[in-house]
Amino acid sequence: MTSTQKIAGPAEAEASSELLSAWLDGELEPARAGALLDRLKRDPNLLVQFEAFNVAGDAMRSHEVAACHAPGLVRRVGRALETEPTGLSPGALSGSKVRRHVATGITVVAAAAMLVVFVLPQLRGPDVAPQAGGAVAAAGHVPDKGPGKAAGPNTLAARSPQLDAYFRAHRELAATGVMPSAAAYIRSSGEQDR
Amino acid sequence: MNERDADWQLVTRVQRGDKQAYELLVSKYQRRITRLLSRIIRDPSDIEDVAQDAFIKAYRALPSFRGESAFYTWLYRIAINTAKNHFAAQGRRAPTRMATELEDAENSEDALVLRDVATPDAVLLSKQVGEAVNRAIERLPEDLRTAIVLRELEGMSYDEIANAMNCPVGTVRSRIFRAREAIAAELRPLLGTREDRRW
Repeated sequence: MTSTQKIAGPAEAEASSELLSAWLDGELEPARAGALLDRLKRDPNLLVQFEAFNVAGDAMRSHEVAACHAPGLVRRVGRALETEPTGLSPGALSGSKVRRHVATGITVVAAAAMLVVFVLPQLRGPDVAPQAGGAVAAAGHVPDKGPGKAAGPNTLAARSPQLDAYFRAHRELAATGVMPSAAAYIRSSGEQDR
Repeated sequence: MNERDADWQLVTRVQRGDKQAYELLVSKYQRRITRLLSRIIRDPSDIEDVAQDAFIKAYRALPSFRGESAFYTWLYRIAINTAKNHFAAQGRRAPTRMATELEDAENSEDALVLRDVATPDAVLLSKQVGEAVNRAIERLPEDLRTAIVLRELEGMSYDEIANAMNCPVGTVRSRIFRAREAIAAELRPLLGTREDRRW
C-alpha cells in the first residue's frame, strides 16, 4: 500500500460503503459522487467493496455472468494500460470552454490591432505611415503629407527602409512602362492612398 | 442520476486522463464481457486474452465516446468486433451460423443466441453461484430481501422502493447496502476471494 492510500475507521468505512452501494445504483448526488470516487482511488478496502457489490449484482441477475469472474483480468488490463498513452477527450476539456473563448477573443483583437498598426500603414504607402518613424528618418526619407492626411496614432510604427525602397522602385518601374498593363491600376491605387 | 450516469462519471474521469477510473469500469463489466465472449470463443484461454484486448481497444477509443449510448452497449460492440478480429487473425472465420449471429449481435445483445460453449467447470460454478445467491437471499430479513429484489431484479429506483415499502429513502439505501454485503459474503469463498483482498 502506498502512502497515499488510506484506510478508514469502521464507522467511516461503513458509511462510505453505503454511499458506494447507492452510487452503483445511480442514487447518489453528483457532488457526493465525486468525493466518493476520489476516496475509492485512495482506499483499497473501499475498492474491495466496489468489486464485491458488482459481483453480488451480477450474481443476482445472472449466475452464468457471475461465474465468469476472471480474477486476474483487471490487473492484466491495468498493467497493459501502464504503457498506453493517456487519451484525452476534447469533450472532457469542456470545463475550459470559457477560457478558450476568452483566448480566442484576445487572439482576434490582437490580430486586428496588428493589422491596423503595422499592415495598413504599409499598404497605404510611404506618404502616410512613417510620420514618427525613426527608421525612415534615419534613412533620409522625408514623407510629404497630402492635404487632409494628418498622421494618426496608427502611423507611429517604424517602417523598414528596404520596404520604402521597394515601393519607390515599384512606382518608378510602373511609370516607365516596364509593366504597362498594370501601370494604370498601380497609379490609381497610389492615388487613392494619397 | 441513474446507473448510466454513474458509468458516465467514470468515463469522463478516464477522458480527463484518470486510468484508475477505467480499471473500475473493467472491474464492473469484466464478467459480462467474459460471459459474452465465452459464448463466441471456444478456447477458455483465448477468452481472457480477447476480453483484455477488447478492454484495451475500448480504452483507446474512449476519448471519442460521447455517451450517446450506455457505456456497456458501446463496450459490447467493441467486444463483438474484437472477437471477429480474433477469428480473422487466426486465419479462420467464425462458423457460418455464428458469423451471421455476430453481425446481428453487433446491434443488439438480444440477437446473440449463440450456443453455449461453457465448460463443465463453468457450468458447475454457475450452479454453485446460483445456489449461494439463493441461500443468501433466503437468509436475509424480509425487509432487506424485498429491497434488494425490487432494486436488482425489478430495477426500481430508491424512491419507488421507498413508496412500495412505505419507508424513507435513506432506509431503502441502508437495506440495499446490507443485503449486498450479505450476498457478497456468501459468494466470497466460492469465487476464491478473501474479505480484505480484491476479487
